[in-house]
Amino acid sequence: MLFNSIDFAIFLPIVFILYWFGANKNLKLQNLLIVVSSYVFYGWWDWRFLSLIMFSTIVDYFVGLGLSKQENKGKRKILLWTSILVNLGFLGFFKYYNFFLDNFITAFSFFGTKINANSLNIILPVGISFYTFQTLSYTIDIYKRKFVPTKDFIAFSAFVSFFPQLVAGPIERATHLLPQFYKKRTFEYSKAVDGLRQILWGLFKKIVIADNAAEIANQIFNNSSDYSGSTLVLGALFFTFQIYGDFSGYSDIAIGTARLFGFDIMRNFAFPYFSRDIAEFWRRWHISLSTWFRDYLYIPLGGSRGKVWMKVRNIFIIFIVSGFWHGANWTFIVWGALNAIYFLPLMLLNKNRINTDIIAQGKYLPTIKEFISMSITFGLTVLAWVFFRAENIGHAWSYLSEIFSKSLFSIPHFAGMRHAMITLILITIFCIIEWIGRENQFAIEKLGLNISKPVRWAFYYGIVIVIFTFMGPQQQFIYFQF
Amino acid sequence: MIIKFFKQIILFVALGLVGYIGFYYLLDKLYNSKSATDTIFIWGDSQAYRGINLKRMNELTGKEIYTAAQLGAGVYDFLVFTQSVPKNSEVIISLSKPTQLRRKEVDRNKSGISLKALILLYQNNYSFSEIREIIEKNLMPLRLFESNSTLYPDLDTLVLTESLSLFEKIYSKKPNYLDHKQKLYIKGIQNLKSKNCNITFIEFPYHAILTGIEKNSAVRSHTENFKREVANLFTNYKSDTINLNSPEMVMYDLTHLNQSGATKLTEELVSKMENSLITTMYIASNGKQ
Repeated sequence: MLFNSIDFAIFLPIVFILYWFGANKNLKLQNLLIVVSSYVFYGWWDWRFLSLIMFSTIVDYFVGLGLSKQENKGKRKILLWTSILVNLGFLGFFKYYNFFLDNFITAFSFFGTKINANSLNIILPVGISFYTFQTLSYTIDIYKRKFVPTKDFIAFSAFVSFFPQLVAGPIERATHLLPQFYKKRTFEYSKAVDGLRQILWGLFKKIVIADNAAEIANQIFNNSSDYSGSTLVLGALFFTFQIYGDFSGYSDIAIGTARLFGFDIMRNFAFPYFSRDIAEFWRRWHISLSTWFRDYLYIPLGGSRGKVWMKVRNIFIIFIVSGFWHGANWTFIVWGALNAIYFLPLMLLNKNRINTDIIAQGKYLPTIKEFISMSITFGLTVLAWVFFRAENIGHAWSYLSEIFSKSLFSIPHFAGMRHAMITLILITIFCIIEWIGRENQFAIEKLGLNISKPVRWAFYYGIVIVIFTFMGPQQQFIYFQF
Repeated sequence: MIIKFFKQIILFVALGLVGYIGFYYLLDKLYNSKSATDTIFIWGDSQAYRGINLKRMNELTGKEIYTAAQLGAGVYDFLVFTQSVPKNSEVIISLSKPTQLRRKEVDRNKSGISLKALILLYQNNYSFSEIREIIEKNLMPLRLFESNSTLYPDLDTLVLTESLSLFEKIYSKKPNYLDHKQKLYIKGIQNLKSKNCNITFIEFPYHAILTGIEKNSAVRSHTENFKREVANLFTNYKSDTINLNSPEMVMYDLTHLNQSGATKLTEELVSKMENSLITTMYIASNGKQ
């Protein structure tokens, strides 16, 4: 079920009413309702793949219990690897099987050996990369004795399948989300209103910014050989806002929806395009995934300790794996490696933690230095997104070579210029609102809270009108494919 | 607390809905409110959109010409049209075979929201999800009546974009929704009648290749029966032909007229309409083309 669909607009109030009026006196019943509604939410897309979530839930539940009872180191390791192999096995098969097969065939044919093997027609189950990482965090934390496993199977199932963040995150940690299923939830008015406000902003980002930008970015990227360098820059810019609006919009709706049910889930985006360096960007972009890799891959590898080559190796590993997590294509790997290259000088010069505060905190405008740093970081990010969006490495290269040609200085032109201009105006307004609200959890969190209700409501109605007036053609969330 | 929350939500939604309905109504009025005096309203699908030269019709009649003909228009669009035209209007309608045979899901269904039309659809076998899709397409009011259209150019050769096998397939079997669609078209015509509209029907020509396929097809008897049903709605009704036979090409492709064809048809139609006092179905023929 898509968040930006009428199906969800009907589904959400029904579950909300049942949750607070039908099941509010019984915690188990509330959790069970979450499990059932999450399965309905997921099954709306394809019910057959529910079996994967259920299987993963059962395996990790029993592995967790087994780990808590087992003191023998070897046996504990076996249990942990069972969970890792099952989860990553599913992920590997559904997401990477064809990629590895095709690359093996290419590699062998390079050495003169011809292999006859056919790719399989595999459907990638929506959200598999997200919920497998979430359940993995559970077993790894229990293995490290950071967390006591639950005996409550329903609470655990609800944790794995919690519908607001099931298909595209934020990737929650068991230590943070699971305990919330043990406690009785009481309805908090301010939290629910806050949640609604965040949902509204998320819908604006997705429907107005991402969907409109997507139409233009798709047109330019899909026919890139026909366009000048300046038009291709526009295409990359639109994709930059498409992916941000799409993914952070999804996260906002997820967090807001969770708040309606009394849950707090982690922040996933913190105004990343206002970052002053790449290190700051990565602290602000897809936070739940970056911290997951930091805690479960980077730190176990040694992190930033050790010799220089170790640091370099670890940085490359984490960025390349992170790129590969996004999809089975070399473009994602190069995107990851490019970010590692961006990041490396900062880390080697020990300057990766200089921008930990909010840019221009308490001020209206950034300093010139801050503005330049922000613009450079933004430019580097746009450049990297070309690899992320391109069909293959060749496409990315030809796209970039055209950008860095003479045609960069021509006037951009393509069939959808009028639409592009309107979308650019919308993006500018969006950036201004985001800038104003950058010290909050999300841009409109506190916007207008100190003004009278009619004015505030008029502002919300204004957003609704803009959503309906400028809604782009409905597009699936990009991160559904990851 | 939760009761307060619900009250606020209901108030917000209710106010929003009232505002939205008001906004929709006003914009719809602004876009689509037309006078019936000295005006001709046209409805049809792409055949009508490409097949009538609006400028020429305006020159010949001295009347305002508005077309609601759209590419892929379907029965919902027709129902909205019948509700939107003012009383005592003069209307030209083309209920082509594709508008009857086209699958429901590929109908255009984009003419604004009309509750009456949606209820009629529901009563005639449209499912909730089909109706929901129509609503989703029409969340914003639309300009239903246009005073300009783009005609197909005159070319020396016929443009063949779709294969004949596709037409053969469409005409090979009566679709299960055909009866419901035809019933809805009848309801729309009855609505126009009750508004005392002066109705003219027109059937645009097919290219000779297609006419052959269509004449021997399984759906032929159903579309002919429908024509008879339409005729039975009127006490005074006649059928007439418009001959487009010409040494020049009048067709652009297998189903649409080109600019010359559209202009010729418009001139013939206007002259015949001026001399006709009863409801007429004009069947345009393009000879051997």
